Amino acid sequence: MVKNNFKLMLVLVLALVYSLSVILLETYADPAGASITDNATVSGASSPTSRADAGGTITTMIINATQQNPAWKAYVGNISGSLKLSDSSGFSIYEWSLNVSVVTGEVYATRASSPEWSNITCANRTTVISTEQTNLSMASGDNDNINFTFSENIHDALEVAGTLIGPNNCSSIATYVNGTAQTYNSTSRPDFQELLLEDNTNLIYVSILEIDAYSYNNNISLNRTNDFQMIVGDDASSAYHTTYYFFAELDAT
Amino acid sequence: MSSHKIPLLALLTILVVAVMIQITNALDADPSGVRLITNGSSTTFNGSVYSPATALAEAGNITQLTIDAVGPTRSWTGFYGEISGEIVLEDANGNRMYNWSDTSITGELYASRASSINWSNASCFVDGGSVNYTGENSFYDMNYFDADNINSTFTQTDHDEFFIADRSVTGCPTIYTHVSDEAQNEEFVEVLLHDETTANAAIYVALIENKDNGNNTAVVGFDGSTHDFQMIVPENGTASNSVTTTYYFWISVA
Repeated sequence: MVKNNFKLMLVLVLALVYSLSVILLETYADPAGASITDNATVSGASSPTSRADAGGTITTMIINATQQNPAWKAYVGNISGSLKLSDSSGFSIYEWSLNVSVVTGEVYATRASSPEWSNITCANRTTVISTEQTNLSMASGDNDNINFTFSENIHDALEVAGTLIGPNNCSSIATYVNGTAQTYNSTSRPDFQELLLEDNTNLIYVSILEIDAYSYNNNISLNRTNDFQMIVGDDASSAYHTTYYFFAELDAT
Repeated sequence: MSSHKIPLLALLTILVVAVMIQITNALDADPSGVRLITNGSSTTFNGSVYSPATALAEAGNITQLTIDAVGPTRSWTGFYGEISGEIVLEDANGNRMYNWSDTSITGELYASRASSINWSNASCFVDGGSVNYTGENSFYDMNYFDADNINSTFTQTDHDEFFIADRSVTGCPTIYTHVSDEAQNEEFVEVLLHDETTANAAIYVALIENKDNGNNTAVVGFDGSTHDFQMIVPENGTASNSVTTTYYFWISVA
């Protein structure tokens, strides 16, 4: 490099004029609407039991009956997805496909098309849950209403749109595995945890994703798995099906 | 020609040669710090863009669903924009002899969390040294299995050749950011380097897209508008972290 008092230097002066867009996703993005690509419906079948008794007899029977519950329905299945770095208009500058075997997060189902995610908290039994029961024609004394069904407080911690929900804080259940109720307590984590949240107005069912856990309809020989299982309330008195909107929040691992 | 003009002509020749030498040396120069950044708007992922799907099912039924979901990455931030400037001929005191306005800057834009880089040691990011994927991922609270950690992101190595000073750079970890919201493998190349001495950190390099002055050959970017550069850099966006990473920017003009 030539050095002298009259050294002529080529200086590059750059003025960067940008629209500097920090397109990132902060930690506090709302759950995004999920897309559903296929579905199939199974309804409980019931085969009658029969007996034949001789005329003139009086037979005492203890009848054990199993009937499909018209006040509830369930959604189960698998999830795939991607992570994006996008601006507020939805244009993505980059995208990462998620390995379906390591997707974690939650699936949300609610009758509200646009929940207020900034107000998320555990669902209150005497306000939002009670109101939802009324909306679905469930009586306060019904032993299959929402409060009686979601009678536990056993679930993992989770984060919803930046709000931390602590473990075992909300009303919860754990759906079945291998066709059988799971055995668990507050220290032994069950699969397919489902809990109830609210946004001050609407009830939101939350299924914490599993990674290919044995499903409700699995047995030893079938090896069936699901990423999520959830039950949601329905209006048994109505001829119309209750519509639920699905959202998802994904983690990279 | 008078005898007085011959010495003057010789002096002028010497000065011209000196200027040419200086220009040549400057073209082999290390990247220089960016002098001015004018920040524009910052936006983020908007989940409401993705409308929720609905499912109808009869009461008492169990319905099998396959859900496709999209979520925001918590581990990266992006920069994009325009570069304009001028090339000047001036002395050490800033006295300018001439300048050339240039709105078609090409070259590379460098970003690193290190405030100082030893450019002679800047080279392709290779795992296993003092600056490695484990350490870099850990700095941003990324885990080994994360689908969007650094090594899972920079998976290609097919970027165009570029130069740092007079050293050719090829075959480094590479990505291509999106054009019009779609993945592609031609424009907006970003390369991963490191400096394991002064900086002791990774260096992210965006190859500036050429934009010919006076015509319509600008390159369309991720959002459907033309941009000179796009790049993504890691950032710890987890709930437990409230501190943002400061990035330093350098530029090298071809």
